[in-house]
This record gives sequence, C-alpha cells and structure tokens, in this order.
Amino acid sequence: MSSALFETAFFKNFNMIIIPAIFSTIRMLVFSMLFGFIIGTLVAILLVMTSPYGLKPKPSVYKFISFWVNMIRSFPVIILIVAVSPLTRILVGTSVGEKAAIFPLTLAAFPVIARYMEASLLEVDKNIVMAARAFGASDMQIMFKVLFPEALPSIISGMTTTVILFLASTALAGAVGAGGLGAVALTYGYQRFDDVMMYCIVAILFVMVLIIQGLGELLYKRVKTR
Amino acid sequence: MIEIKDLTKKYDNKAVLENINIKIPDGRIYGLAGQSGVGKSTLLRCINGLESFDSGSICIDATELNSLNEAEMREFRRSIGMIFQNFALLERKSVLENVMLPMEFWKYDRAHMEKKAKALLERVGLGEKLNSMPSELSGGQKQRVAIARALSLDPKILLCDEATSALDPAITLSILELIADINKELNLTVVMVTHEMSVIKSVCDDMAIIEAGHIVAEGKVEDVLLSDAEPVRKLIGERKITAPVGKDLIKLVIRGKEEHPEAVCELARNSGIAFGIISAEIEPFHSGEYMGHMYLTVDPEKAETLARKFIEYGIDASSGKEFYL
Repeated sequence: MSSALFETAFFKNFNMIIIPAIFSTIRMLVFSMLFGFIIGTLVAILLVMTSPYGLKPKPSVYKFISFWVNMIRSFPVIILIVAVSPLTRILVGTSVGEKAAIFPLTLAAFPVIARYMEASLLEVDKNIVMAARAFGASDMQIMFKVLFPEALPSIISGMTTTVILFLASTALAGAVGAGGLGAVALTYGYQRFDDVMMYCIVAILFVMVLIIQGLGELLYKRVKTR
Repeated sequence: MIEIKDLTKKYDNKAVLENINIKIPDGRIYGLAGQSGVGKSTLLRCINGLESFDSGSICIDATELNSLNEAEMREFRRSIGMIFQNFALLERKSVLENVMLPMEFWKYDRAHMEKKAKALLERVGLGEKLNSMPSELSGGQKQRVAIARALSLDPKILLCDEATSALDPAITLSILELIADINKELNLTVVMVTHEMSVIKSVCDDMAIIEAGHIVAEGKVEDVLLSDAEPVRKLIGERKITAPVGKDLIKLVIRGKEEHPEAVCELARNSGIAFGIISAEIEPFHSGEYMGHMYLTVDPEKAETLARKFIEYGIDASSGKEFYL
C-alpha cells in the first residue's frame, strides 16, 4: 500500500517539480506581501490622517483614496491578474511566471492590508490620542509613537489573515500562468486526473497555512504581553 | 490666571457652550460640575485647545488661545497637563515609558527623561512599579501614573476630566488628596470636571455649575453649595424634609465658625425653647472648615422666636414646614 503511494506521480516528481514549486510559491508570497505591506502602510497612514475619525479629517481626500482602494478590492484576484497583464508586461517584461505574478498580487494585496491596518489604527482608544495631543504631540508623533505601537498586536493578526488569504491567491494565480504550487496542482493534478497529486499539494498548502497561522499567533502573543 | 470671556461654541449651529465667563486665579482648584452631556468636558478641552470655539476668548497668563498657530498651540500645551476618566495610558508601554512619553514628544535627552520620570513616580507612590505594565495596575495606580505623566513637562495647569469617576470611594479620596498636595507643592492651578459633589467639596476652592452649556451658579464652593439655589438642588438630587405633625422646622446654615455648633448648644440651654435636631449634614470642606445644614423641630408658635435667636448669634436660620435638603 505504502509502496504504491510512493509510486505515484507526486513522489516521483517530488524533487523535480514539487520542491521548486514550493519555493516559487513562497517567493511570490513573500515579495507580494512585502511590497503590499510597504504600499499598504503608506496608504493606511493617509487613510488614518484624513479619515473623518482620523487625526486631521479631510473628507474629500479620504473619499478619493477610499474610492480607489475599494475599486481595486472589488476585482477578484484572478481577474485582476488578467486585467492588468498589459501593464505587467510593460513593468516586468513578461506577463507569465512567478515574477509577473508578484506585481498583480501586490496590487491586490495593498488595499486589503491598508484597510486592515486602518481599522487597527483607528481602534486605538481616542482618549490616548487626546492625551498625546494634550502633551503637545504632532500628528506624525501620534501616528508613530502612539497609534502604531498600540495597534501592533492588532496589525499582526490582520497581517496573518492577509498572508493566508494571499497564499490561496498565489495558488489561484497558477491558473493564469504564475507557476508555483497552484499551477502544479492544476496541470499535474486536476488536468491529468491525478487525485493523489492534487490532494498532496492541498496538504502542502494546508501545512503552510498552519505554519503562517502559528507564527502569527506566536508573534501576536509576544507583542501583546511583552 | 485662566480667563474665559463670553465663550461660545457650536456644533451644527447648536450652541453647546454659551456665554461662559470664568476667572481662575493661579494656584486654585476649580471645579466644573454638572450632569453628563452639559458641555463641561468640552469647556475643559477648550482650555488646552483640544476643542476650538466660535466666539469669545480664553486667555491664559496673557496668551490668547485663538491667536496661536498650530506650532505655537503645541508649544503652549506643554504648560498644561491633563488626566482622564479612563486614564488613557498606553497599554503596550511600561509605567516608566508612559511617564516619559510627553518628554519624548519634546525630545528631551534619555537620561534626563528617565531621572525625571522616576522621581515623579516616586512622588505619586509608585517607585516600585517602574517596569510594570498598566494592565498589572489597579485603577487608582493607573491614575497615579497618569498624574505623574501629566506632571512630566512641569505644567502650570492641570486639567482633570472626571479623573475619579471610574474609581471607588476610598481610592477616589486618595487620588484627590494627591491632587490637593500637588496643587500646594507646585502652586499648580487645577481645573476639575466632575459630576460628583463629594469631589468638589473635598478639594475645590471655587466652582461653577454648568447646565445645558450655561453657567448657572458660580463662586466659592461653600457659597454655592450652601445656598439651596435650584441648580445645586438639581445636581444633588431634590430631597425634601417635612416637619413632623404639629411641629415646625428650622433650617440652620452652619458656616464653619467655631462658635456655630456651640451656639446650638447654648440656645438649647438658655432660650427656654425646647427643640430637637432631626437632621444634620455637616462636613469638612477643602478650606478645612466644617459646613452644612442642620434641621430642628420646634413648636410652631415658638419657631419665629427661636429662628430670631439663632440669627442674633449670626447663624442663618429660617423656619417653615418643608425644606429642600
């Protein structure tokens, strides 16, 4: 029985196809999350500054940013990848492969991250903000010395959720030429009617989800209790 | 000196504060009393520019708040400390870091910040808790940290926004004592917003009662509270005392002169009129004097005479069938 399992395509192709696909998925995820985090943070800062509940309410600016964030978020990831592929080609030089996927994934990720972060930052007790202001803090000092440090645990749990969400998205991106585990599950599993291959890859993704969630929780606890 | 003149503030064209006039001399403890939602916290926040106002002026030591630009306003706020009902401590920073935070905003050097914060925490009785997190402290301890933090920039004024409302009575007393001590030691002007009369009685020199955005009573605490003006009654809750059948009541206003309680005793002995004490509420005020009301029962035909005898002793007395407590 067990020898029969090891005779399957999954194990025969393990070193040649599966391992590289795992690393490809990890690279896509790490880079899109990294860029998404950087852009998302900047957008979140703008949102929190201009929000009607924010530090310097500017409703018109807030509505403008909010509009674009919502619009990008309304694209299903797989459609977004296809929709921006001309732009991807200009920026990355190609619209297929791992590198080409990072651009649309980043594009899809930053609004999600920005929204999560906006919610976390605005959740900080208004009295703490008022206290900081009463001691003469500037808006930027309130942002970086009060809001971010206080919201850190909440930001971390938001990021954990986002990373897991986008692990699924990188797999989805495999359907439109991105490579990685998703592509392997589709081409070697689904299209070849190889259920073992497909479910084993799902199992790998499952383990990755567990690891990300575990790390997220660990980090959360660490910053929450200090 | 805090001088508020004709201040009016509106939200959506509805005045939340109207024609507010207050003068608070240096070193005084001033109470702003009123039920919740009458605008007293808003008024407090106008004093350090956290809230803007529509007309009138606030002058603090010759600085007119409305004339300040943003940078000047920040600089000005350094001289005003503030504490809150829910303490407003940063949950992820230690006690020491919380106290250092205002100094961090002003880029003090690290060694100085630490020294100062430690000294202040020592002063408020938390020298042992420097590295504790706020979540490990009791409510009273948290407010002590907040007081230390509020003093870290050497303010001239301390604003207290319902600072003891979340604390139980014994803890409230110890916090009020601390505030009163600091007021004396540093000649700090303190403005306290509260809905608790006991807070006003035990620490404030002067007070104002605010009702729906207006000041309805103002003056020395004893003058305001011992008058049974309507605003005071409203705030304390209207309680009536009624004469027993066949008797009249005499209400005495005891105002801290030492001879007052003795006068009651003396008249009991010498007036030839029998009377009973059915209620007395005499408490120590912030000034250290004992003040309050005392209610006597007496035969109706002798009520007038007895009241006059008290008045001859310099005690404010009036007779009747019914009084507000």
